[in-house]
Amino acid sequence: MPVTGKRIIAVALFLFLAGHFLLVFNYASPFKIGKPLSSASNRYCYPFFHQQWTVFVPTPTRQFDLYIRNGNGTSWQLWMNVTKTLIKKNRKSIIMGKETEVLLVTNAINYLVYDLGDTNHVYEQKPDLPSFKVLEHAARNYFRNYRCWKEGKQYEMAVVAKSPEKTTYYYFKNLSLK
Amino acid sequence: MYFYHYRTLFSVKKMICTEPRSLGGIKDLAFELNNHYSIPLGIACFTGLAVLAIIGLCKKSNYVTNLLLWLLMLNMNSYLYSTLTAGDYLLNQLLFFNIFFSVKQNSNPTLNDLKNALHNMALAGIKLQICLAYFLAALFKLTDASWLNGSAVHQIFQIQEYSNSSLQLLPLWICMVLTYLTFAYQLVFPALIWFRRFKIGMLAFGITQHLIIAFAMGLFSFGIMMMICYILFLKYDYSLADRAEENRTRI
Repeated sequence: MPVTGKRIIAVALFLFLAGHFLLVFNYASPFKIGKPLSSASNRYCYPFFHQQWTVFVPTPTRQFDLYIRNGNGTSWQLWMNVTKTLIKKNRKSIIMGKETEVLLVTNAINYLVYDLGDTNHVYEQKPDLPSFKVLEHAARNYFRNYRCWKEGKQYEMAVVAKSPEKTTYYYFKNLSLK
Repeated sequence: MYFYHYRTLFSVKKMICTEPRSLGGIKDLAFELNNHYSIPLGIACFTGLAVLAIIGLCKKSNYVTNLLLWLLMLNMNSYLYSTLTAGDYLLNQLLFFNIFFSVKQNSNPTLNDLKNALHNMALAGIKLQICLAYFLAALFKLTDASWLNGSAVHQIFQIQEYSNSSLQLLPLWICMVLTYLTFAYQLVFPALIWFRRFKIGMLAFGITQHLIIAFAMGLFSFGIMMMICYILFLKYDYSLADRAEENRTRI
Protein backbone atom coordinates (compact mmCIF):
# COMPACT_ATOMS: atom_id res chain seq x y z
CA MET A 1 0.00 0.00 0.00
CA PRO A 2 1.37 3.47 -0.86
CA VAL A 3 2.47 5.66 2.06
CA THR A 4 -0.38 8.13 1.39
CA GLY A 5 -2.93 5.33 1.69
CA LYS A 6 -1.41 4.20 4.98
CA ARG A 7 -1.51 7.76 6.28
CA ILE A 8 -5.15 8.19 5.32
CA ILE A 9 -6.06 4.97 7.14
CA ALA A 10 -4.02 5.99 10.19
CA VAL A 11 -5.71 9.41 10.33
CA ALA A 12 -9.18 7.89 9.88
CA LEU A 13 -8.60 5.38 12.69
CA PHE A 14 -7.13 8.09 14.92
CA LEU A 15 -10.20 10.26 14.33
CA PHE A 16 -12.48 7.31 15.10
CA LEU A 17 -10.67 6.64 18.40
CA ALA A 18 -10.65 10.32 19.34
CA GLY A 19 -14.36 10.70 18.60
CA HIS A 20 -15.24 7.48 20.40
CA PHE A 21 -13.39 8.39 23.57
CA LEU A 22 -14.64 11.99 23.55
CA LEU A 23 -18.23 10.71 23.49
CA VAL A 24 -17.57 7.96 26.05
CA PHE A 25 -15.79 10.41 28.36
CA ASN A 26 -18.65 12.87 28.17
CA TYR A 27 -21.18 10.07 28.79
CA ALA A 28 -19.49 8.58 31.85
CA SER A 29 -17.88 11.68 33.36
CA PRO A 30 -19.24 13.65 36.33
CA PHE A 31 -18.43 16.84 34.41
CA LYS A 32 -20.38 17.12 31.14
CA ILE A 33 -19.18 19.20 28.18
CA GLY A 34 -22.22 21.04 26.83
CA LYS A 35 -25.78 19.89 26.19
CA PRO A 36 -25.57 19.01 22.47
CA LEU A 37 -22.52 16.81 23.08
CA SER A 38 -24.22 15.15 26.08
CA SER A 39 -27.21 14.26 23.98
CA ALA A 40 -24.95 12.85 21.24
CA SER A 41 -22.97 10.92 23.91
CA ASN A 42 -26.12 9.35 25.33
CA ARG A 43 -27.32 8.31 21.89
CA TYR A 44 -23.93 6.89 20.95
CA CYS A 45 -23.01 5.14 24.21
CA TYR A 46 -26.18 3.46 25.43
CA PRO A 47 -26.42 0.47 25.32
CA PHE A 48 -23.33 -0.58 23.36
CA PHE A 49 -20.70 1.48 25.19
CA HIS A 50 -22.47 1.97 28.49
CA GLN A 51 -20.13 2.17 31.47
CA GLN A 52 -20.13 3.60 34.95
CA TRP A 53 -17.02 4.49 36.94
CA THR A 54 -18.53 5.90 40.12
CA VAL A 55 -16.80 3.01 42.03
CA PHE A 56 -17.59 3.72 45.71
CA VAL A 57 -18.80 7.27 45.04
CA PRO A 58 -20.82 8.20 47.03
CA THR A 59 -19.11 6.17 49.73
CA PRO A 60 -21.56 3.62 51.13
CA THR A 61 -22.44 4.58 54.69
CA ARG A 62 -25.48 2.38 55.29
CA GLN A 63 -25.56 -1.28 56.07
CA PHE A 64 -28.50 -3.01 54.38
CA ASP A 65 -30.09 -6.18 55.69
CA LEU A 66 -32.93 -8.18 54.23
CA TYR A 67 -34.96 -10.26 56.68
CA ILE A 68 -37.56 -12.82 55.66
CA ARG A 69 -39.85 -15.07 57.66
CA ASN A 70 -42.55 -17.49 56.58
CA GLY A 71 -45.66 -18.78 58.23
CA ASN A 72 -49.35 -19.41 57.76
CA GLY A 73 -50.64 -15.92 58.55
CA THR A 74 -51.01 -16.42 62.32
CA SER A 75 -47.86 -18.20 63.47
CA TRP A 76 -44.49 -17.27 62.03
CA GLN A 77 -41.02 -18.81 61.89
CA LEU A 78 -38.02 -16.79 63.10
CA TRP A 79 -36.72 -14.00 60.87
CA MET A 80 -33.83 -15.03 58.67
CA ASN A 81 -31.17 -12.48 57.64
CA VAL A 82 -30.75 -13.25 53.93
CA THR A 83 -27.96 -10.75 53.19
CA LYS A 84 -25.87 -11.94 56.14
CA THR A 85 -26.31 -15.60 55.11
CA LEU A 86 -25.30 -14.87 51.51
CA ILE A 87 -22.29 -12.78 52.50
CA LYS A 88 -21.15 -15.50 54.92
CA LYS A 89 -21.43 -18.13 52.18
CA ASN A 90 -19.52 -15.87 49.77
CA ARG A 91 -16.72 -15.44 52.30
CA LYS A 92 -16.38 -19.20 52.69
CA SER A 93 -15.51 -19.61 49.03
CA ILE A 94 -14.54 -16.40 47.29
CA ILE A 95 -13.91 -17.96 43.87
CA MET A 96 -16.95 -20.25 43.61
CA GLY A 97 -19.05 -18.41 46.16
CA LYS A 98 -22.28 -16.44 46.12
CA GLU A 99 -20.95 -13.16 44.70
CA THR A 100 -23.70 -13.00 42.07
CA GLU A 101 -26.46 -13.49 44.65
CA VAL A 102 -24.87 -10.96 47.02
CA LEU A 103 -24.63 -8.37 44.24
CA LEU A 104 -28.17 -9.08 43.06
CA VAL A 105 -29.77 -8.73 46.50
CA THR A 106 -27.70 -5.77 47.72
CA ASN A 107 -28.09 -3.85 44.43
CA ALA A 108 -31.85 -4.44 44.52
CA ILE A 109 -32.06 -3.24 48.16
CA ASN A 110 -30.00 -0.17 47.28
CA TYR A 111 -32.41 0.83 44.50
CA LEU A 112 -35.47 0.03 46.63
CA VAL A 113 -34.31 2.09 49.61
CA TYR A 114 -33.52 4.97 47.25
CA ASP A 115 -37.06 4.73 45.80
CA LEU A 116 -38.84 4.41 49.17
CA GLY A 117 -37.15 7.35 50.86
CA ASP A 118 -35.80 7.67 54.37
CA THR A 119 -38.84 7.01 56.59
CA ASN A 120 -39.92 3.91 58.50
CA HIS A 121 -42.96 2.31 56.90
CA VAL A 122 -45.15 -0.77 57.12
CA TYR A 123 -46.44 -1.84 53.71
CA GLU A 124 -49.68 -3.84 53.94
CA GLN A 125 -49.65 -4.05 50.12
CA LYS A 126 -46.74 -4.43 47.75
CA PRO A 127 -45.33 -1.10 46.57
CA ASP A 128 -45.76 -0.72 42.82
CA LEU A 129 -42.08 -0.17 42.07
CA PRO A 130 -39.74 -1.99 39.66
CA SER A 131 -37.06 -2.07 42.37
CA PHE A 132 -39.45 -3.89 44.73
CA LYS A 133 -40.36 -6.34 41.99
CA VAL A 134 -36.68 -7.16 41.41
CA LEU A 135 -35.99 -7.68 45.13
CA GLU A 136 -39.17 -9.69 45.75
CA HIS A 137 -38.46 -11.91 42.76
CA ALA A 138 -34.87 -12.55 43.90
CA ALA A 139 -35.89 -13.25 47.51
CA ARG A 140 -38.80 -15.51 46.54
CA ASN A 141 -36.73 -17.66 44.22
CA TYR A 142 -33.83 -17.76 46.66
CA PHE A 143 -36.18 -19.46 49.13
CA ARG A 144 -37.65 -21.72 46.45
CA ASN A 145 -34.13 -22.81 45.47
CA TYR A 146 -32.33 -23.06 48.77
CA ARG A 147 -35.07 -23.51 51.40
CA CYS A 148 -37.48 -25.58 49.28
CA TRP A 149 -40.44 -23.29 49.91
CA LYS A 150 -43.60 -24.53 48.22
CA GLU A 151 -46.23 -22.61 46.27
CA GLY A 152 -48.86 -20.79 48.32
CA LYS A 153 -46.56 -20.19 51.30
CA GLN A 154 -47.05 -16.85 53.05
CA TYR A 155 -44.11 -14.71 54.03
CA GLU A 156 -43.02 -11.26 55.15
CA MET A 157 -39.99 -9.20 54.27
CA ALA A 158 -38.17 -6.47 56.17
CA VAL A 159 -35.40 -4.27 54.87
CA VAL A 160 -33.23 -2.53 57.46
CA ALA A 161 -30.96 0.36 56.45
CA LYS A 162 -28.52 1.04 59.26
CA SER A 163 -26.08 3.95 59.43
CA PRO A 164 -24.19 5.31 62.48
CA GLU A 165 -26.77 8.13 62.68
CA LYS A 166 -30.03 6.43 61.84
CA THR A 167 -31.76 3.10 61.29
CA THR A 168 -34.69 2.89 58.88
CA TYR A 169 -37.10 -0.03 58.64
CA TYR A 170 -39.28 -1.04 55.69
CA TYR A 171 -41.70 -3.83 56.55
CA PHE A 172 -43.59 -5.63 53.76
CA LYS A 173 -46.59 -7.75 54.83
CA ASN A 174 -49.03 -10.08 53.10
CA LEU A 175 -46.64 -11.62 50.58
CA SER A 176 -47.08 -15.10 49.23
CA LEU A 177 -45.49 -17.51 46.77
CA LYS A 178 -47.68 -17.79 43.71
CA MET B 1 -19.06 -19.27 36.01
CA TYR B 2 -22.41 -19.11 34.18
CA PHE B 3 -22.65 -22.92 34.32
CA TYR B 4 -21.96 -22.81 38.05
CA HIS B 5 -24.65 -20.17 38.63
CA TYR B 6 -27.17 -21.85 36.33
CA ARG B 7 -29.89 -22.29 38.99
CA THR B 8 -29.68 -18.68 40.16
CA LEU B 9 -29.38 -17.03 36.76
CA PHE B 10 -31.08 -19.18 34.13
CA SER B 11 -33.37 -21.88 35.59
CA VAL B 12 -37.16 -21.80 36.02
CA LYS B 13 -36.54 -20.51 39.56
CA LYS B 14 -33.95 -17.93 38.52
CA MET B 15 -33.43 -14.98 40.85
CA ILE B 16 -33.07 -12.56 37.92
CA CYS B 17 -36.19 -10.51 37.16
CA THR B 18 -36.42 -9.40 33.53
CA GLU B 19 -38.45 -6.51 32.14
CA PRO B 20 -38.62 -6.04 28.35
CA ARG B 21 -36.60 -3.06 27.19
CA SER B 22 -36.61 -1.46 23.78
CA LEU B 23 -34.75 1.53 22.38
CA GLY B 24 -35.68 0.84 18.77
CA GLY B 25 -33.58 0.01 15.74
CA ILE B 26 -30.15 -1.55 15.98
CA LYS B 27 -29.93 -0.81 19.72
CA ASP B 28 -32.43 -3.58 20.44
CA LEU B 29 -29.71 -6.06 19.44
CA ALA B 30 -28.32 -5.59 22.96
CA PHE B 31 -31.59 -6.70 24.59
CA GLU B 32 -32.50 -9.79 22.54
CA LEU B 33 -31.78 -12.24 25.37
CA ASN B 34 -33.46 -10.03 27.95
CA ASN B 35 -36.58 -9.45 25.84
CA HIS B 36 -37.04 -13.01 24.58
CA TYR B 37 -35.66 -14.96 27.51
CA SER B 38 -36.26 -18.69 27.61
CA ILE B 39 -34.14 -21.40 29.20
CA PRO B 40 -32.92 -22.84 25.85
CA LEU B 41 -31.96 -19.34 24.68
CA GLY B 42 -30.07 -18.70 27.94
CA ILE B 43 -28.20 -22.00 27.63
CA ALA B 44 -27.46 -21.31 23.95
CA CYS B 45 -26.11 -17.89 24.89
CA PHE B 46 -23.67 -19.02 27.57
CA THR B 47 -22.62 -22.08 25.56
CA GLY B 48 -22.01 -19.81 22.57
CA LEU B 49 -19.90 -17.53 24.74
CA ALA B 50 -17.82 -20.47 25.95
CA VAL B 51 -17.31 -21.80 22.40
CA LEU B 52 -16.36 -18.38 20.99
CA ALA B 53 -13.97 -17.77 23.88
CA ILE B 54 -12.27 -21.12 23.22
CA ILE B 55 -12.04 -20.29 19.50
CA GLY B 56 -10.35 -17.02 20.46
CA LEU B 57 -7.95 -18.71 22.88
CA CYS B 58 -6.97 -21.20 20.15
CA LYS B 59 -6.22 -18.20 17.89
CA LYS B 60 -8.82 -19.34 15.35
CA SER B 61 -11.01 -16.29 15.70
CA ASN B 62 -11.85 -13.81 12.98
CA TYR B 63 -13.79 -10.56 12.75
CA VAL B 64 -17.15 -12.37 12.62
CA THR B 65 -16.55 -14.62 15.66
CA ASN B 66 -15.20 -11.63 17.59
CA LEU B 67 -18.26 -9.57 16.70
CA LEU B 68 -20.52 -12.44 17.80
CA LEU B 69 -18.64 -12.75 21.07
CA TRP B 70 -19.11 -9.05 21.80
CA LEU B 71 -22.83 -9.16 20.94
CA LEU B 72 -23.44 -12.26 23.05
CA MET B 73 -21.63 -10.77 26.05
CA LEU B 74 -23.55 -7.52 25.59
CA ASN B 75 -26.82 -9.47 25.64
CA MET B 76 -25.74 -11.49 28.65
CA ASN B 77 -24.84 -8.34 30.56
CA SER B 78 -28.10 -6.61 29.60
CA TYR B 79 -29.97 -9.64 30.93
CA LEU B 80 -27.87 -9.81 34.13
CA TYR B 81 -27.81 -6.03 34.66
CA SER B 82 -28.76 -6.30 38.34
CA THR B 83 -25.64 -8.34 39.14
CA LEU B 84 -23.08 -6.33 37.19
CA THR B 85 -19.97 -4.62 38.48
CA ALA B 86 -17.76 -2.06 36.72
CA GLY B 87 -15.59 -5.01 35.62
CA ASP B 88 -18.43 -6.37 33.48
CA TYR B 89 -18.89 -3.01 31.74
CA LEU B 90 -15.16 -2.91 31.10
CA LEU B 91 -15.28 -6.41 29.62
CA ASN B 92 -17.91 -5.21 27.10
CA GLN B 93 -15.62 -2.42 25.99
CA LEU B 94 -12.58 -4.69 25.70
CA LEU B 95 -14.57 -7.18 23.63
CA PHE B 96 -15.65 -4.35 21.32
CA PHE B 97 -12.03 -3.51 20.51
CA ASN B 98 -11.27 -7.23 20.37
CA ILE B 99 -13.39 -7.33 17.18
CA PHE B 100 -10.60 -5.57 15.30
CA PHE B 101 -7.81 -7.89 16.38
CA SER B 102 -6.67 -10.16 13.60
CA VAL B 103 -4.57 -13.25 14.02
CA LYS B 104 -4.36 -14.54 10.47
CA GLN B 105 -2.28 -12.73 7.86
CA ASN B 106 -3.51 -12.46 4.29
CA SER B 107 -1.66 -12.98 1.01
CA ASN B 108 -2.80 -9.54 -0.12
CA PRO B 109 -0.32 -6.95 1.25
CA THR B 110 -2.85 -4.09 1.04
CA LEU B 111 -5.32 -6.07 3.10
CA ASN B 112 -2.56 -6.92 5.55
CA ASP B 113 -1.71 -3.26 6.00
CA LEU B 114 -5.35 -2.51 6.71
CA LYS B 115 -5.59 -5.42 9.15
CA ASN B 116 -2.43 -4.28 10.95
CA ALA B 117 -3.76 -0.74 11.21
CA LEU B 118 -7.04 -2.02 12.72
CA HIS B 119 -5.10 -4.31 15.06
CA ASN B 120 -2.96 -1.44 16.35
CA MET B 121 -5.99 0.80 16.69
CA ALA B 122 -7.74 -1.89 18.78
CA LEU B 123 -4.73 -2.32 21.05
CA ALA B 124 -4.48 1.44 21.57
CA GLY B 125 -8.25 1.56 22.15
CA ILE B 126 -8.11 -1.07 24.90
CA LYS B 127 -5.24 0.65 26.67
CA LEU B 128 -6.97 4.03 26.41
CA GLN B 129 -10.21 2.51 27.74
CA ILE B 130 -8.42 1.22 30.84
CA CYS B 131 -6.79 4.61 31.38
CA LEU B 132 -10.14 6.34 30.90
CA ALA B 133 -11.73 4.05 33.49
CA TYR B 134 -9.12 4.96 36.11
CA PHE B 135 -9.28 8.65 35.25
CA LEU B 136 -13.08 8.76 35.49
CA ALA B 137 -13.00 6.87 38.80
CA ALA B 138 -10.57 9.52 40.12
CA LEU B 139 -12.75 12.37 38.78
CA PHE B 140 -15.79 10.98 40.63
CA LYS B 141 -13.72 10.76 43.81
CA LEU B 142 -12.86 14.45 43.43
CA THR B 143 -16.56 15.20 43.87
CA ASP B 144 -16.93 13.17 47.09
CA ALA B 145 -16.09 14.67 50.50
CA SER B 146 -15.15 11.36 52.14
CA TRP B 147 -12.49 10.66 49.50
CA LEU B 148 -11.09 14.16 49.92
CA ASN B 149 -10.96 14.02 53.73
CA GLY B 150 -9.51 10.50 53.75
CA SER B 151 -12.35 8.66 55.52
CA ALA B 152 -13.72 6.77 52.48
CA VAL B 153 -11.89 3.45 52.86
CA HIS B 154 -12.66 3.34 56.60
CA GLN B 155 -16.37 3.90 55.86
CA ILE B 156 -16.37 1.22 53.14
CA PHE B 157 -14.69 -1.30 55.48
CA GLN B 158 -17.50 -0.81 58.02
CA ILE B 159 -20.02 -2.24 55.53
CA GLN B 160 -20.18 -6.04 55.85
CA GLU B 161 -20.73 -6.53 52.12
CA TYR B 162 -17.29 -5.07 51.28
CA SER B 163 -15.37 -6.13 54.32
CA ASN B 164 -14.31 -8.85 56.71
CA SER B 165 -13.41 -8.94 60.39
CA SER B 166 -9.73 -8.07 59.77
CA LEU B 167 -10.48 -5.10 57.52
CA GLN B 168 -13.02 -3.75 60.01
CA LEU B 169 -10.33 -3.62 62.69
CA LEU B 170 -7.82 -1.60 60.61
CA PRO B 171 -6.85 1.63 62.38
CA LEU B 172 -8.16 4.87 60.93
CA TRP B 173 -4.71 6.15 59.91
CA ILE B 174 -4.03 3.06 57.77
CA CYS B 175 -7.42 3.52 56.11
CA MET B 176 -6.57 7.17 55.44
CA VAL B 177 -3.28 6.18 53.81
CA LEU B 178 -5.13 3.59 51.69
CA THR B 179 -7.75 6.18 50.68
CA TYR B 180 -5.20 8.69 49.46
CA LEU B 181 -3.02 6.04 47.82
CA THR B 182 -6.01 4.66 45.89
CA PHE B 183 -7.09 8.16 44.88
CA ALA B 184 -3.58 9.15 43.78
CA TYR B 185 -3.09 5.87 41.91
CA GLN B 186 -6.27 6.31 39.90
CA LEU B 187 -5.41 9.91 39.11
CA VAL B 188 -1.85 9.31 37.89
CA PHE B 189 -2.34 5.88 36.28
CA PRO B 190 -3.36 7.26 32.83
CA ALA B 191 -0.29 9.49 32.74
CA LEU B 192 2.44 7.30 34.21
CA ILE B 193 1.57 3.84 32.88
CA TRP B 194 3.13 4.73 29.51
CA PHE B 195 6.59 5.24 31.05
CA ARG B 196 8.66 2.13 31.67
CA ARG B 197 10.30 3.69 34.73
CA PHE B 198 6.99 3.82 36.60
CA LYS B 199 5.17 0.91 34.99
CA ILE B 200 6.27 -2.00 37.18
CA GLY B 201 5.67 -0.04 40.40
CA MET B 202 2.24 1.09 39.18
CA LEU B 203 1.19 -2.41 38.16
CA ALA B 204 2.53 -3.94 41.39
CA PHE B 205 0.45 -1.49 43.42
CA GLY B 206 -2.57 -2.11 41.19
CA ILE B 207 -2.30 -5.88 41.50
CA THR B 208 -2.03 -5.65 45.32
CA GLN B 209 -5.03 -3.35 45.41
CA HIS B 210 -7.14 -5.59 43.16
CA LEU B 211 -6.13 -8.72 45.09
CA ILE B 212 -7.47 -7.03 48.25
CA ILE B 213 -10.66 -6.09 46.38
CA ALA B 214 -11.06 -9.66 45.08
CA PHE B 215 -10.19 -11.72 48.14
CA ALA B 216 -10.68 -9.46 51.17
CA MET B 217 -13.58 -7.29 50.00
CA GLY B 218 -15.31 -10.18 48.20
CA LEU B 219 -15.66 -8.48 44.78
CA PHE B 220 -13.86 -11.31 43.04
CA SER B 221 -14.97 -10.82 39.43
CA PHE B 222 -14.21 -7.08 39.48
CA GLY B 223 -10.77 -7.53 41.05
CA ILE B 224 -9.75 -10.28 38.64
CA MET B 225 -11.08 -8.45 35.58
CA MET B 226 -9.00 -5.38 36.36
CA MET B 227 -5.87 -7.46 36.93
CA ILE B 228 -6.30 -9.26 33.62
CA CYS B 229 -6.25 -5.87 31.88
CA TYR B 230 -2.74 -5.24 33.17
CA ILE B 231 -1.41 -8.05 30.97
CA LEU B 232 -1.87 -5.76 27.96
CA PHE B 233 0.45 -3.18 29.45
CA LEU B 234 3.12 -5.81 30.09
CA LYS B 235 2.91 -8.13 27.11
CA TYR B 236 2.44 -5.61 24.30
CA ASP B 237 4.98 -3.18 25.51
CA TYR B 238 7.36 -2.61 22.65
CA SER B 239 8.56 0.93 22.33
CA LEU B 240 9.89 2.11 18.97
CA ALA B 241 13.45 1.85 20.32
CA ASP B 242 12.83 -1.78 21.37
CA ARG B 243 11.48 -2.66 17.94
CA ALA B 244 14.45 -1.08 16.19
CA GLU B 245 16.78 -3.00 18.52
CA GLU B 246 14.92 -6.24 17.82
CA ASN B 247 15.11 -5.69 14.07
CA ARG B 248 18.84 -4.99 14.28
CA THR B 249 19.38 -8.23 16.22
CA ARG B 250 17.44 -10.21 13.61
CA ILE B 251 19.49 -8.76 10.76
